[in-house]
Amino acid sequence: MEAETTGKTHTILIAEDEALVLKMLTYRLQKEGYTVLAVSDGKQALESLRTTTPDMVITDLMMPYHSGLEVLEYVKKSLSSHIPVLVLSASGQEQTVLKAFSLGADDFALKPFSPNELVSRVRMLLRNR
Amino acid sequence: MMPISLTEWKVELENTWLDSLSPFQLLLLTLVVISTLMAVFLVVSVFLLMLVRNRKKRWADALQARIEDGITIWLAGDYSIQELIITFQQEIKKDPRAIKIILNVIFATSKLFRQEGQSALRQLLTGLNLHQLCYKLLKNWHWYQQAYAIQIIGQLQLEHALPLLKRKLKTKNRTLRLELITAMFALGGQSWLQEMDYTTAHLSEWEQIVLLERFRRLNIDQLPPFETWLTSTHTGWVLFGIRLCRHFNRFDQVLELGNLLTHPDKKVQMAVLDAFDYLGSPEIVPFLIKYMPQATGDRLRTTLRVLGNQGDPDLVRFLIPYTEHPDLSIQVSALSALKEMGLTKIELRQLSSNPQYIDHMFDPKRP
Repeated sequence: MEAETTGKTHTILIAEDEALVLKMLTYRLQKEGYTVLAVSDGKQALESLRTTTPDMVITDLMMPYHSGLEVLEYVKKSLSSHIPVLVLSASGQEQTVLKAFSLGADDFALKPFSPNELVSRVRMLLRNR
Repeated sequence: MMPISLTEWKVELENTWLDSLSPFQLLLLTLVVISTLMAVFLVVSVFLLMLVRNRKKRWADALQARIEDGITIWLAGDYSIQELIITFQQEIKKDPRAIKIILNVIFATSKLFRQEGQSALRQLLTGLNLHQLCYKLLKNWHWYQQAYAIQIIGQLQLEHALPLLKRKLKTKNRTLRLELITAMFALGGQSWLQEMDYTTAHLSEWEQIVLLERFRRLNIDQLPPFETWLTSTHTGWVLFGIRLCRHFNRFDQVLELGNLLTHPDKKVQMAVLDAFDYLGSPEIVPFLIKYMPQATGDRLRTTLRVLGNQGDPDLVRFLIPYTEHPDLSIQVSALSALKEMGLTKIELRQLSSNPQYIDHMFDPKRP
């Protein structure tokens, strides 16, 4: 498992308003050995980021209160640009993707996604930190 | 005070003031009593119904959460499918209403995941024999139940249902037809397409918009071979094929699209021009040059604009004749196209007998 090989448990913040996706990702990543902070909207995500600095952030784009782009911007500008951010979105529109990357997103996964693929991407992003 | 019996109380009541009431007052009193009793009954009924409904909702929510958790854990690889099927079967045995909730959760979850996630959910659905329920729902009297079943069949790729869907294609219900088309495309295997082309000749603008929206959500390998629709005998399908070629950047279809500029329907010609404008490949130029002499009005204006957007100075000579076209709007389109091709204000002034257009075109305040 990733956490075991690095000798440290990585903390991942997941901000996702789709309960099923949140549950699934949380469980899956916990099983991989990561510590997961799961929140269901942008407000909770920002509050959580003010108190904890995770090793990685997975955020949905469309969320109540604050969008994923705001969360992304906060991580990259106020925390550290080295924290990898993976953006999840149901919209694969070019503009959305470009906007996310221009704000510093490290990866973009389109919904519906493959859980295995997503876990691999998380692993890779944390390895490349 | 001495306690009195019910009989004594009744006698007392009749002997005292009930006797003094007129028949009308008595009727009124009866009505008041009945209304009050009915009101009380209604309030109690509503309260009880609310209680039952809340209890039902709590039960459904709790069951849904359990099912979601079960599926989540299973998808993460901690349960075997057999274990999950047994657990869900027990839930169904306890209360058959669980079937609907399980089906809903499987359907909702399948929309969130693809590849191994989706095929696992299909296995679960068939393992629970819920696919048979979907097939049964296709015959349901309510069209929305049928639509729901069709959505599940398409989403979870229940390929065996293809003949069942095919049989329903002649339905007059447009929503059902849309669901059918979407599901059948998702299922792949295009052998049914030709059949549909004959059975459902018309494809309205509204249906095209809805289908396009659905297609955008499909994986590329699930997309129908829409280039084959370009030769359809039904204009609706030709138009839709052109729009899909444009939307999915099918540069390889330029030749087929260009040939459609001779299509008798002007809407088709216009759609090709729009697609060309979007695709913007140099291969479109010969088609446009050939098309220009027969185009009029909007189609000619669009052709000029598309050529202008190519920005190729070699095309200038083809556009110059149109700067003296009797239709002023065509003149303006030709001049704008020439400007796009890089002609200067002075060069354009020399070409046009209306220098005020040129000034207007170069006006920095122009939106």
